[in-house]
Amino acid sequence: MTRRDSPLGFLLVALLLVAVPRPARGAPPSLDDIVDLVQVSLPQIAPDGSRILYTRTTLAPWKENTRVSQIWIVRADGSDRHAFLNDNKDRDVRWSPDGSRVAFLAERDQPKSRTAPDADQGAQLYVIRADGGEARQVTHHEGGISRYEWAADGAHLFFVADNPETDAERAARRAGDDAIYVDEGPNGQGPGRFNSLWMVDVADGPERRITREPMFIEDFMPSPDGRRIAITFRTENTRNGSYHTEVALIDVADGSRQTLTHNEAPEHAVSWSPDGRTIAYLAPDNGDWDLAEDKLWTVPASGGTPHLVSSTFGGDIGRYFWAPDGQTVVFSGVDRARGGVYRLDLASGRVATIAHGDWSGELDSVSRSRLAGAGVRSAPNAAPDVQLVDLKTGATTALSDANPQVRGWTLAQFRAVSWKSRDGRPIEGMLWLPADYHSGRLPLLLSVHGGPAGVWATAFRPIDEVYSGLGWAVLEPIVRGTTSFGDQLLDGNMKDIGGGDYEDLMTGVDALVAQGIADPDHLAIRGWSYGGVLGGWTITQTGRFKAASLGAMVTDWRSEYAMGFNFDVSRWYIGGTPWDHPDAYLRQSSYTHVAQVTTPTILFHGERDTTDTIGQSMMFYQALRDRQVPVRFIRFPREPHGFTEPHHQRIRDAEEVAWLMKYARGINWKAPDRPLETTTSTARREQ
Amino acid sequence: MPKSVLCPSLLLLVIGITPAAAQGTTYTTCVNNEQLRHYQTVSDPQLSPDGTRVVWVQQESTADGAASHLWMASSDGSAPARQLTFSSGSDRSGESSPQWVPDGSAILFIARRGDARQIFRLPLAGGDAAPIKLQAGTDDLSPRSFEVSPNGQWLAFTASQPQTPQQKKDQKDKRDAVIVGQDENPSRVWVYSFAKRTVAALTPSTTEARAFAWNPDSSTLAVITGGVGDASDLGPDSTLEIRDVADPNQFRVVDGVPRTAGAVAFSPDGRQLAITAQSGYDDPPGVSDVYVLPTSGGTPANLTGPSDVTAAGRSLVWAKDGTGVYVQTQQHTRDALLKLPVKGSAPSWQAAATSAVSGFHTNREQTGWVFIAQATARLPPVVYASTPGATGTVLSRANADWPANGWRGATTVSWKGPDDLTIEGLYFAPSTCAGGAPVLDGKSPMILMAHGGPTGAFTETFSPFVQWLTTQGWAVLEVNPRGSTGYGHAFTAADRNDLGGKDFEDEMAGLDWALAHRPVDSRRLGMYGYSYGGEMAGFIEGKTDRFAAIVSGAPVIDQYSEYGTEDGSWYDRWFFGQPWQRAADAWRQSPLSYARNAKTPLLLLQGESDTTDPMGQSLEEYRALRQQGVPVRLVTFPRENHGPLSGGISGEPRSEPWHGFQARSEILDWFQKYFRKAVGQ
Repeated sequence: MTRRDSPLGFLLVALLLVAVPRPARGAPPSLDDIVDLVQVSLPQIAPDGSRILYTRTTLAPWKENTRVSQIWIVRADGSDRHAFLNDNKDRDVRWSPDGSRVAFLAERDQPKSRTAPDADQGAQLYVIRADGGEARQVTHHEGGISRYEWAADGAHLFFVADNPETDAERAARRAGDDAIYVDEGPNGQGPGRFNSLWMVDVADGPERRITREPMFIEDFMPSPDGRRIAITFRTENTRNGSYHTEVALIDVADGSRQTLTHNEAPEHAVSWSPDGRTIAYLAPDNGDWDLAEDKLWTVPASGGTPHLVSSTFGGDIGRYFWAPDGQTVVFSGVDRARGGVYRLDLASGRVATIAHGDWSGELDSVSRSRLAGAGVRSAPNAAPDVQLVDLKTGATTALSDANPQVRGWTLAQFRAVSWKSRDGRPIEGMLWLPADYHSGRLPLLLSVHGGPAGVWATAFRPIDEVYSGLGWAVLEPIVRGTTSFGDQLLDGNMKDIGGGDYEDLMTGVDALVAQGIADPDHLAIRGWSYGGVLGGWTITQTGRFKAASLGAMVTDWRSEYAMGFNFDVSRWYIGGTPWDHPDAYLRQSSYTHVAQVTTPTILFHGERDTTDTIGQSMMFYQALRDRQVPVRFIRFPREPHGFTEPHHQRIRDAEEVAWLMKYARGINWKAPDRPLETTTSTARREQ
Repeated sequence: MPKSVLCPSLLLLVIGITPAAAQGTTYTTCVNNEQLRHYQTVSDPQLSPDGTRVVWVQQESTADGAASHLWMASSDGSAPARQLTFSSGSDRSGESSPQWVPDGSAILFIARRGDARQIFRLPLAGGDAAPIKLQAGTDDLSPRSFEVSPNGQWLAFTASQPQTPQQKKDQKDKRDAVIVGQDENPSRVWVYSFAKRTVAALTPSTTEARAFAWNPDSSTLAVITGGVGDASDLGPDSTLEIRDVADPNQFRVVDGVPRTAGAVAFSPDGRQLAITAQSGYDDPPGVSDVYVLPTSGGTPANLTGPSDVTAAGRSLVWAKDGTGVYVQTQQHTRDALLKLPVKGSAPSWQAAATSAVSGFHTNREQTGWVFIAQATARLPPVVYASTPGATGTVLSRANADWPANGWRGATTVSWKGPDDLTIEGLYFAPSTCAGGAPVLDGKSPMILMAHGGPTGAFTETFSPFVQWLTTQGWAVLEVNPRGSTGYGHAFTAADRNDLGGKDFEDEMAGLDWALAHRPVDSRRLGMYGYSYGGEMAGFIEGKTDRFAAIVSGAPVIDQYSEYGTEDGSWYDRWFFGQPWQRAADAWRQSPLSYARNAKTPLLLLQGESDTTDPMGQSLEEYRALRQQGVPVRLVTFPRENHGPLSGGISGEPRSEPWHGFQARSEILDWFQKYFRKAVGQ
């Protein structure tokens, strides 16, 4: 079961990458075209708004089986776009408050430490001037640095680093005394390390430790006067314990802590008001951890009761930024599956829409005046690119053109559709159709999103372009439990997974069949994570699908309770524990009904998936195999819940398409061989 | 025979940054040995095309690893000096050879980050420096020198021919017998196209590329090539070719160019070439005049000869209007820029601002000049001036923890040597620093110093080594005997077939002068020299007892063995011929031939990897003196070659962390011990 806030991340991972040679003009993209797509991310606009730094990730030569990232820079009018930093591991660039320098984390050519030659030196902080000159290493911190922020004075950097291994610990580990004491100290299911806040003088580098308590600092933000740091933190590392997170203030001088929240809900994205008197953060609520959208809260820095300020906004808040006068907050988010940029008046709670439309993407950074912001946006027919957003008018200027070859592709038709579910609840969905489709019945691929609190955003969806190019209609229902439509839809599958959300899917298929678009004899279903869960459930309840592709699924909630993420299952989606509510656990698990499955199924699972553990696919596979239902199970070494290796991504997609083509449409389809790399193709990637 | 290894402090230009190790320490002019390990230098200033900024190389101190980095300042001093490049952890050598691209948007430099040397491009609009990928086929090329074409479209550079796969395999398999004198991978000139990002070889793999220069219209390169391997040991063999950049098969040899041509520069209209080549006089090899000839070939016109000056450096800069050529050279104890008119008037000396200026650079439009301004009594800064003779603006003076001024300065003094020749020297009075040698009867010890070469000279540059000697309470006399440069051709050639003869007498006459005119204690005299200066120390060791102690660095002791084992012999051949043909001359000019008379305690300092004066030379003197019962001590330095060890002893930054310190310790102990002994202490 995925965490509530990871599926969107997974969806973005599913944006696969660049084409090697471009297809014949007007052709839909192939699997290689999409694995070759260039990604852009994390644009950082300079304080004066004049230039934007961003990360550009491209596929390395195929045999290296990896992607490489590079930091690029561009002017606010889109001109003079070029590489700024060179190393693949450079990341997390941030402009200094006065815009004269840029800090970043890097692992550049570090000599191996003699004392710990096998230890990762870890990332260190570097600073480079914006007006010419090389980057200079600022920290030499043993064990590396995970996150940092500029101090408002621009002369210091604050950072969080894992507490280093002591000599005794290292000796014990080397001697083989490396047993893991689960959930004790900093350990969770695996070994962990507490971390601490530090500060460093940018000019001459002495590093000073600020906090000494055993804790895990998650987000942090220094106060405008530099005397305190707002943090979100935990003191234990149990799986599914994110609700233990609290907001606190750390005194920079003596490291003392003042905790501001005391609840059972997870907080993140903590920040200071410009006058330093108020702390803001995102959390679903201030009591128990309810299944709810993240909302914006404020609490006085001197302590007090947290106050909900974003109650009028029903969508999913992504990033937010204080205005310099402290009266409003600009934020980006997803509202009803569509991207939006808004301004919230703190006093009145009124939300004004700056922009909202059939696109998706967050604001990653804003200029000092808050007149401009930068984010990455895509739309159903436009690959993601860095955009400059005018925060008065919402108008955008494209700053990158990462995938010009997409303009030469034939892209699917895209439309939003809606229907009523069995209980009358209105349901929306995204429908992708072949470019030349006018009428008639098409094979239909029902695509189920993860989460359950994920969403099918109005974004560029490369795999759907491949499917529609092969003649499929693809339906992506926004079932109950989906995020960004308000808490009401989000809660829609409370204690009811496989119930109402299943009906939402089936009624969508029924509607398309009734409209003469979907061919009921050629239906297929696919899903990853909760999409695999619900897909697996679906094929135990109906035989209408001729083929299924289930990735990273869970089939038996009782056995998965302790193995994977379980907080949401136990709290919301089934309710209770397997020993207190054994009937519900059995009833709502597809494994209980696996004997009903007749649909030929292909299963995918990463061997290092700790969100939904691989034993679940093994169980489903074995059941189908024993019952002689056509089934195939493909395991992927090294892969976690979302795949990262390009070769694995291509194999997964090629095998899924081939399976669905064969069993739902009787077509023996094989992915074309990947074209050999030519110098022009690799050269294009280098630009 | 030591080649023209001049006084070490002439070669290097000194300024430094505050080293982290010295944080909080304030140094005085009473330098101690450890302080010299923290000394930093500046060199190679480059003026931007628009004249508003200057980039130079600052080298960290020996104590900090001696890496060099690029620094930048604005020419008018408004934007202060700041460090521009930073090495990553494993790179110990840093960045060097800065060069502006013609539109001023970026700086190119050489660094070794990873396995190989590469040329990097640093954009001044901000961002990382990126390496320029220079490959022949799939082999990486390791560039040595480089220059961007005036129109910015090409990069010409020298690099060795890459090893063939068979060569690499043989090396790996240890099938690696060496055929002496052959070089299968000579240095070639290559050109890189910025637009196409491709590299083409310009010179063939059968010649060794020595120097090149761009035609101002960027269409051709003038290239000086010579024989591969040790061909030049048989005599000068340079050829000057004009090669078409776009089509390497198009080239022609320029007729009339002497076989000794060393450097070349096109005139602004591209119709003439200025070259340095062996002087028109009977001078030791390497003494150059400046010539001009048409690019199409012809008889070169000698610009320097008539005025009896020589071109010391290799860099030639045409005046923007084409009326003359600037060359950096030396006159007496001063270094300066000389303008040589192509026609008509006499040459004119350009710099009067300080006594020794070097590292001159100007941009294409010659809007201004940058240089290093030297003087014996102050740390040398990078200076920008609108004309070479102006005082200019000091842009940076590193070694911020060291006093900028107030060091012991030299006075130029002179006396007569044999044949009534006037001989010059630089005299430094001893310091009054605490702990120095006692002044007895109002007199102090003195160190006589001989320079290398012999075709070299002492000039008025800042020398941390000399400052350190004077801190000990010792006077120092640097002597420019006959054979030195800067006093006319006849003077420079006056040591022919007479090494250790009249030049030795010039040294002794200087000693006499000092004893007569300065409060110098005749009982406490020391002598120090390196290379030919070490050879002179060897002559002094065998020809006189006047000194209490002598220190000889990397000397030639025995011309027979030196001639056959040094890197190249053409230079020596001019002085005394081939030893097997002229045995008596060679023996007479060998310090070893006087060893039987030696009495003075001798300290020998020798680099074990010295290919100019190989270690065998020091060993011969060591064994001889030891068996003669003379106090002798030989200290050898692993890994060190001729020039680097000399620089290290002199206090210049070196990547060897301790050798300079150890050598100076030995020198100090040696002189102190025998000075004390000489006065019964």
